[in-house]
Amino acid sequence: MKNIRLSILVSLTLTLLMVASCDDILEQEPINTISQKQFWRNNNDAQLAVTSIYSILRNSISGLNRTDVPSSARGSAWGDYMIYGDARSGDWVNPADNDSDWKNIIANNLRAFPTLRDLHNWRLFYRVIEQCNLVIENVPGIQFDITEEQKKLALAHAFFVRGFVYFYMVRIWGDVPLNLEAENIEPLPRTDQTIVLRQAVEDLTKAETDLPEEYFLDGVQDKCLTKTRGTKGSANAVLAHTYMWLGEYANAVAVIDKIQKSNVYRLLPTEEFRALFDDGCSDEGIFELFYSFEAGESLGYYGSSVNWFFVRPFTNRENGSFGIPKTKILETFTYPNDKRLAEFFLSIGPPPLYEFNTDPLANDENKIMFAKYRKAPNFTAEYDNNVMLFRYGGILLLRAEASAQLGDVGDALTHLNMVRQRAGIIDYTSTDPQQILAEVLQERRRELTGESHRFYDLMRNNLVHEFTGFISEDDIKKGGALWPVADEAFLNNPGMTQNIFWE
Amino acid sequence: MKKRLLLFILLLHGISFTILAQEVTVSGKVTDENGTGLPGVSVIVKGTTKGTTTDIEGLYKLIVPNDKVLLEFSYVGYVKQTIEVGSRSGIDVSLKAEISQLDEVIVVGYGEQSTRDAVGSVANVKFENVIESQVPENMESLLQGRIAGVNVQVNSGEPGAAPIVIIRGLAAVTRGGEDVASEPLYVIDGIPILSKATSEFNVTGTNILADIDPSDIENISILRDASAAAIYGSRAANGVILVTTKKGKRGKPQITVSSVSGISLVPQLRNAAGGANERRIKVGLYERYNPDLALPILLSDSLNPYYNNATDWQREVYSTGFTQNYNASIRGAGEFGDYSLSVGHFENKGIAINSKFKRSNILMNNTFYGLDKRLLINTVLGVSSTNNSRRLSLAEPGFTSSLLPAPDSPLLEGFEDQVKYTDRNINNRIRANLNVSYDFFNHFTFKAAGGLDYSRAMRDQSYPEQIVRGDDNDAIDRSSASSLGESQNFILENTLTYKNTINENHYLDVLVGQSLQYSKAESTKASGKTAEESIAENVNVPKAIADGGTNFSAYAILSYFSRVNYIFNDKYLISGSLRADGSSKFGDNKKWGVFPSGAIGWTFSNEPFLSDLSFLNFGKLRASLGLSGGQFDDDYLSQGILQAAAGYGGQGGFTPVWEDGYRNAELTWEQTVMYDIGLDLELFNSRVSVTADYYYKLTKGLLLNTDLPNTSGYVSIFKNAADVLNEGVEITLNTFNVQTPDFTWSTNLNFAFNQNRVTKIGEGNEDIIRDNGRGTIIRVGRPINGLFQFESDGIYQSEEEVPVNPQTGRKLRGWDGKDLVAGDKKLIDQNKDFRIDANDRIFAGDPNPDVVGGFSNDFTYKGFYLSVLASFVVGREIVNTAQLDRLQLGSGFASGNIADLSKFSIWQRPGDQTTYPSINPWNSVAQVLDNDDDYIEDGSYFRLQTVTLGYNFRRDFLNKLKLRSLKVYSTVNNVAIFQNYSGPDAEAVTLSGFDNSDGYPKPRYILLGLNIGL
Repeated sequence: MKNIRLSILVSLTLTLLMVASCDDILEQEPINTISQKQFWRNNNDAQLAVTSIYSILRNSISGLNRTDVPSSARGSAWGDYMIYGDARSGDWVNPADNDSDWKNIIANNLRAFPTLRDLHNWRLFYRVIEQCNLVIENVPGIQFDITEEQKKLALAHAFFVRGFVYFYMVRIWGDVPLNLEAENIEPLPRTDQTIVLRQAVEDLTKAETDLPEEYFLDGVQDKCLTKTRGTKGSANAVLAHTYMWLGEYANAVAVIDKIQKSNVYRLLPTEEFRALFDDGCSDEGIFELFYSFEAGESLGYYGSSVNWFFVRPFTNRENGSFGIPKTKILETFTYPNDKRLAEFFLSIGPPPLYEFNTDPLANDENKIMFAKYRKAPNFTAEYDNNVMLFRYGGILLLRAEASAQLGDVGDALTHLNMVRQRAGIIDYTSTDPQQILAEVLQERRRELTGESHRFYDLMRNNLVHEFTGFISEDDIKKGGALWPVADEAFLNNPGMTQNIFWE
Repeated sequence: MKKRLLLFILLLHGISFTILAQEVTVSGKVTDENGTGLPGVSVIVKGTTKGTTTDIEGLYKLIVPNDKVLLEFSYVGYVKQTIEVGSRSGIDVSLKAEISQLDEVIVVGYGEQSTRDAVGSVANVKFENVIESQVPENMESLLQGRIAGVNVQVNSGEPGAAPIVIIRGLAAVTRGGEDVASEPLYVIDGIPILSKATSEFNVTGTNILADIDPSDIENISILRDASAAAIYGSRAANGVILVTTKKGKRGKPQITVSSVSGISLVPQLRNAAGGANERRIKVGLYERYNPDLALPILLSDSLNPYYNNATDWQREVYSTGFTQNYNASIRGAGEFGDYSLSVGHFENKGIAINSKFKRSNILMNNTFYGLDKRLLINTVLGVSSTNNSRRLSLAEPGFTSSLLPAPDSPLLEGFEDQVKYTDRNINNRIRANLNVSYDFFNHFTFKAAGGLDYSRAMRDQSYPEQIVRGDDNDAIDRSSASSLGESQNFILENTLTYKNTINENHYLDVLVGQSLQYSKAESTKASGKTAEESIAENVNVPKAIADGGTNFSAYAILSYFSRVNYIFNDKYLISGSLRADGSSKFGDNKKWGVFPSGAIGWTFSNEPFLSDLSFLNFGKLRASLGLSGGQFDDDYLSQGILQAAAGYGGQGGFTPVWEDGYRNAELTWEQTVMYDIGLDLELFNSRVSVTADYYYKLTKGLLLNTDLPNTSGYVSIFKNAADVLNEGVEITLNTFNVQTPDFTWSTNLNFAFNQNRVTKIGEGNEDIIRDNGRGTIIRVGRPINGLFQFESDGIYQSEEEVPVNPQTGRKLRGWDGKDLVAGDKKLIDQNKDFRIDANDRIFAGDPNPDVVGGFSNDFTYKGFYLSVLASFVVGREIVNTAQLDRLQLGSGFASGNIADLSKFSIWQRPGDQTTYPSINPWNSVAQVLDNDDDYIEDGSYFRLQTVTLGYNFRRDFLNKLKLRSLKVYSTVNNVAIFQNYSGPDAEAVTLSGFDNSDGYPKPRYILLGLNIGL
């Protein structure tokens, strides 16, 4: 009997133990990361989500491939912003004649190699948009440890980047799908680019309202935060470009005027160009992509074109893969004493590098290093120049362009000459709006060379075919200046269409 | 005081009176048919638990209550005898060897059963019979060809590689381009174990089951149908493999020492041209396809001694391997309990340089008896360590040109590096179980079992010299990587069993139970790259670019289950089970699944109206129907996982995991509905036995990832979206062809016919096309992993033959956007969109075999025995991708080796009717495509898998040496393969039917074994 009692006791005890301990064992949650279920609890989560917006934005613009790592086919990131914004403008060549990828891009031969496929793909841009949409949908519902101000700011960041990305994509692909909902897995067709740009204007306007002019740390402007995150200034800069694309020049002038009146930005003298282009976070920058080598975000991994134009002693290459040849430089920088020349170009030759303008005629055609962005000459990939997207100099020239389009000669000349004076070249004095417009575009070509604006300037003014032999006017009508839509976009999306030229 | 004494004396007398009046002492000797005494035979008074066992000589002595009782003599492997004591005091018994396996007790889920009483489809393999047939590296490959419906494919010859085990057809959909097998559940000594680890945590890639020494295994039961397997509910959908390790048997300590050693021989290797021939072929390619290009120095400077060789690099890389295995054990039992301790050491040095697998292991399996054997406390402790050295992939297209000099030449760094490369993979594992069972009220048994399975895997890889040369401007990479993965599995189970025979004819067996399992896996990885020379074999490179991270994943399953077995009159069998499982992996409202099963059996041979059929010893019809479940590897898939995003300005962030982080709280159990109709027959004095089963297995809600439109940002969504049907017939035929005391011959033939097809995909049954049109296509009505190929119609003899779209005037665009030229394959544009893409691929073959089987013959003549096993696969289509790969040249072909192209039919000029198109190495898109229906081949094979010849020394000889047993044997493994396939081995293909022989060819083993029993 004793044994029976013992056994019953043992069984009951064990069974009870089990039942008691099992209630919540089926709730297993990850510990080295978190799930959507656990996220969106407080302001800190909102901040983490917002930071990610910028992090993916940097990936998408600088050319990590669509799985977030540098494309294995390419070995490292290329700096896609330059490929989209500069490479096909007619100014750029593959100086060493050694890289068929670059040659194909320059020749608008964009389907040539599988290695170029990642550039067709907008997936990463839609990741940025999804991250923005997640913030837009989830932040308002956070109940604890967050103020209304903090919520507004988080949302303003999301609207700012979403608007920017839609604008950026329209320039690359024309019509693009419009996705304004988080976790939206429905197949979306492409939307007319005017509607997309209207959406961008709406987002950016919302963002401009709630974003600050500057960020402060202990009462002092936090320069890098101010330059690398959304501000009123950067929202207005993107808005200005969006209005230009829509042909709404008065609106563009109005928002640029706000930037000027904010007194946050100024033109740096050319002597401070190293601070502007190499260090970043200067008074002239309006919106830059942040790279911090110390924080493990070096360009070598996260994407930059500099890999391709650096030569000895910056890297151990004798010739760059990507650069502007002598004839194009001479064709562009037509005014004497242009202080920018020495800042933007160096010549290759014994001794390894010397200033281009010491004796331009002595240089070989393809022995010029594009040297706007520099780093310590040390053969390594350890450098962290910010990528400049919009700066004050460019915005002033954009105002000049808008005013010229509006026929406001005085306003156009004022702003054009502000930039010319800084460069040390003579003022422009013509009063013919068309001539002024042409000169403004030339000035933008000089001032913003290698800053991923030139190709868009040409597109905006329908001049692409006049500057590159690889894209004809007829091609442009069929969408030849746009990029092909990636094959991947057609998967599980029956309504997807291709740009006619690339069909 | 006196009174008490009197009472005592009276009592004493009373007792002695009882004894004197009724009890009988019986003694005798139990022998086998040859008259040899059998130790350990159980002698029991029928209907009681009273009894004894025979001693080492086969002698016994027993006091029985009266002379009317019946004595039962039983011993495993012998026919049970029942004898009435009568007036005799000495009873000698000769037991006949049992050839029928009907009364063999086999392990089933949470219990044991005789085959006679089973209503589910259960198969059993005694390892004593199979252990000698192969290198004892893992248990799975020993099952190959042994059991109908169990398809074991050993598709790599690499030591430490895991065979693929599929029971009753593949029921997993390929995900993300990788082959996914529907793996069975493995249960060792009653405790489910870690049988796989997801690639993230299985850092070594070594077969995680190879830590179990097959020498320690007593037998393996395989539960194939729902009735047998459903008691394991949640993880039973793909069958259950129950492993029972050896335990101590009654008697004195038995010591067994066994050793096997042998060599492995290099098989046919890939075609490679050497020396002048290589130069001629390569120069020919330059001349034909790119005459303007200057020849590289390697080809043009034939007088240079460094470029004037004919080195057969494959010979340098492959050489005869060596293998050895030692196992020693001591087992025994007594009144206190039983014990078993074994130690083993195994080494297999592979045929490829640097490849080796080593295992050291200890297994203890002890039981303590208490409370008159009603309390059993069983402990199992298994500790093992495996060390798997892997070789660098030799399949790289750049595998060295024969023109280059010997490995000791300082010029040839590439080859040196391949040798210096180290890849060490260590798995340490501890399995510990504690089972306590207690019998009470005569019919009840309560059992509590706890198990811990701990596995630690560690991998160190290093490339001390430059193995990857960058182009001229990149730093040379020297890199190393270390990773550590830990998997733990805790299990706690309680079961209560009631067994009773009521009124002679009603046998009832009821089980209720509950189980809790918690599994977690962690990994830590680090890797570093340095430009400095390093001799460290792990990550120890200061100033290097280092990278690292950890991961963690866990899940839990909580289950409640019950089963009832009822047998009426030894004729009618009914079984039913019900299990409820909750898993943490699924969405909040989808965690629980209920898995019922039922089965009936009819032992018609026990019907009086069939008793006249003297040839029929046994016949049973079975039918079962049941539901079982399955879950997937990813533990948090339903929750929407976030990941740390790259920092921005030094600040961190979180984003969804774009690959598989799309939240889907609807995810739930995969469910398998299976029914099975079976027939078991034993005929002609049990000399012929037949088992036949028909099954229908519909797996519903298989986890499937569907690519999402890329405007969502996410790559794919995981859904319970695909249904797969496997339908088939299994036949097993065992015959004892000759059965004389000196000579026996028995045969086993087993085969299974299986058809596999996808029956549902998502809501709309739309095709799923993987990997940007290159990967598998999943289509309703077609098998999983079906070969979807381009239909090929010869070769364009001129560019004019390329069709032109009349609407646009554009020419047909080839695969991957290739501009088609003369010499390209003429692939049919099925949908007439003037673009060759994935939509033009048509179903062209099925890599899932139609028939898989085995055929074995066992002969004994006196002490000699000979076992021959063949395995075969019929009806399977495969592609010799290894050979096609040899024709997919890249522009860098000059520095690698090259096939002898004269042996291939390659298009060169208009008019050529050839198998292969032109192979211009400078094309950016390959002209020879794997997805070309011309290259589908018959993947059937018949392999003479193993031949073993052995000799058991005779007892009189052993007695002189004071040995219990002594055996020597020799085995040849992978003897010969008969196939139509052009590659070396039709088994060495992936689940998707693509050749895998480049991965690691399968060697032939020649083994010698010695087995000593003390």
